[in-house]
Amino acid sequence: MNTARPLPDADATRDTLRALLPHVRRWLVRLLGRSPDLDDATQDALTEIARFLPRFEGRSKLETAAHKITVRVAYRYFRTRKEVALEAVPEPIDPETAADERLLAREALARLQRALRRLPAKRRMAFALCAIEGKTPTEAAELAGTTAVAMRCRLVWARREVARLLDKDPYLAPYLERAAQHADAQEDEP
Amino acid sequence: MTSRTVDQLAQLARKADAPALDDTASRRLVDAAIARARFEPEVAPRPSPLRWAAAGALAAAAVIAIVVLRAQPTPPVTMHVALPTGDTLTGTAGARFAIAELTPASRKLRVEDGTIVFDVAHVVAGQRFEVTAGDATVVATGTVFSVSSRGHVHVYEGSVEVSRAGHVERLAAGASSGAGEDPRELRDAGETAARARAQLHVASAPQAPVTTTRVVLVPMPVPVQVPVYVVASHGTEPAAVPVPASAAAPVAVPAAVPVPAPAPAADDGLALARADIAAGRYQAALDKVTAAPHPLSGAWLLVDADALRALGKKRDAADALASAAAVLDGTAQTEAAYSAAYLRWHELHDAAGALSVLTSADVDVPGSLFEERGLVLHIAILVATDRREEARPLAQRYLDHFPHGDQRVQMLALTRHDASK
Repeated sequence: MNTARPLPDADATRDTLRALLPHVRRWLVRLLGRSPDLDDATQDALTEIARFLPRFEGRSKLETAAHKITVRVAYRYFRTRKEVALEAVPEPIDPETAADERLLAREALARLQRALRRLPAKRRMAFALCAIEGKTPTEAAELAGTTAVAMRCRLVWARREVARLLDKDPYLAPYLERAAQHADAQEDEP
Repeated sequence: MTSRTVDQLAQLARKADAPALDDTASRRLVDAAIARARFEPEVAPRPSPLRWAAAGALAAAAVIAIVVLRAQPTPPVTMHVALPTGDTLTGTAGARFAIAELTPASRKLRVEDGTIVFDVAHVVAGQRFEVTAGDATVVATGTVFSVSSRGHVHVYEGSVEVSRAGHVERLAAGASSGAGEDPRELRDAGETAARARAQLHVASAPQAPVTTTRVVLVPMPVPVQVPVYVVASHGTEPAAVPVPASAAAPVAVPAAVPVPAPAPAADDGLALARADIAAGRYQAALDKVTAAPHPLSGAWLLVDADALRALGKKRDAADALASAAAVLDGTAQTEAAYSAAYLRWHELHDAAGALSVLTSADVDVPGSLFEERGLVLHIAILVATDRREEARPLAQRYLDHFPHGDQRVQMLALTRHDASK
């Protein structure tokens, strides 16, 4: 029977969730892209974190536990929508960039996210955690509940698959070429 | 594609940030999550094979326990949730509700399953408490009432207005609307809350008069997700930077002594209109569009289109986008034209209007950033209007330019079908 579960302290729970909300949103954007499911996934993750709080014993950082929960929620959403509309892709944070460049970047992101949606869930998670989030395979494995070796293997396959899917894309080549030139120019600056 | 380019894309994705949430939206998400954490059943983890043996033993024990427990009546289970706005919700086990909006000015909830008793904190003029369930919308003004997910409404104290299929009915204390009745435990909860409220009324000083807002059921406009910008430079087309979330918050109450404000610059007005849209104040954004210098610039036309679309005025929105495409240039023009064509075709079923804007702005020509999407839309319209001959070369171009595109299979079918004739 479903009964109202006691939450330890409503105000403390609310404060904790408010503090975690920006992290959860950022993790989900990296895991799911800016999908129409973002708000639903955020609420699901916060709900599960709220349920977890009474059991939190402080053996790890709360943020790590919340990240693990978010990863678990993201897996569920991997199985939902497949299409990514351009409007659903986030703006890269760089207000100095010209409008045309921002649109190109947005387009490149849309294509990456579309490719990621074609990957098997575990490989997609490996790419999101290691390549996008910048976690080491060991850290990513802990978040996803697997071994570092498995994570490393999934990452290799994911990168290979992304490269194959985006190969010969007529728009990515000029965008990435310009981005590389820009990065090289910045490195050359004293 | 090299390993470096994959890394470049991943870095790009790392820089991308989540769309900004204003304070109200953050609070709503958190409050809804807390309510769900208390009410909704947890998704049970899939049991591992090792647990089955233990589960079997527990099941045997449970059969014995049920036999013992059935001998004694179990007390009814009710659950209480206090919202930060001061309202209290009491529900039976399994009842579910969703919070659509939760601010002191407007509380909107939806009963999705079961029955819930609402003990509404005092609602003064300008505030609204609204509950929807099934085909009914209930508006309260500081009262105690119950709503079931099937649309049954019962008033324990005060009065409410129930709108159902355009018909508005006012219910006083003791009255009901819709089929069904409340479970006994909820009737007790409702009557207890009503008695407590009556005692409070006797003890307290007279309150300010309350007003009941009459509500007609209309579809809620879907908020358009737009980035929020402020003017950061003094050019004719301002550089855009994200506004901090606080800037999108509702406007503060005006000061008691009115001070004449300096006339806002045109760019300020544009930023304010965009902030209106981000905060869901679509009519205010339209008012600013009306007051903007005419003829409208491309940026103003885009704001106009966003507000109109959010208010459900799709045809006007599509026209505004087409007008924006006529005055903008570069990728902004292509994006506006594509959006206008998309709206005209998918929402308005206006094939001629969609094709006109699609072709006049060269949305799907080679080299356009929107070539792939433009081609898909163009081909879809041609096929739907029985112009497959014109669609075939476009489908072939799609296959040549986007060999891994999502629509590859459909395009192949189109070209093969036509080739077989």
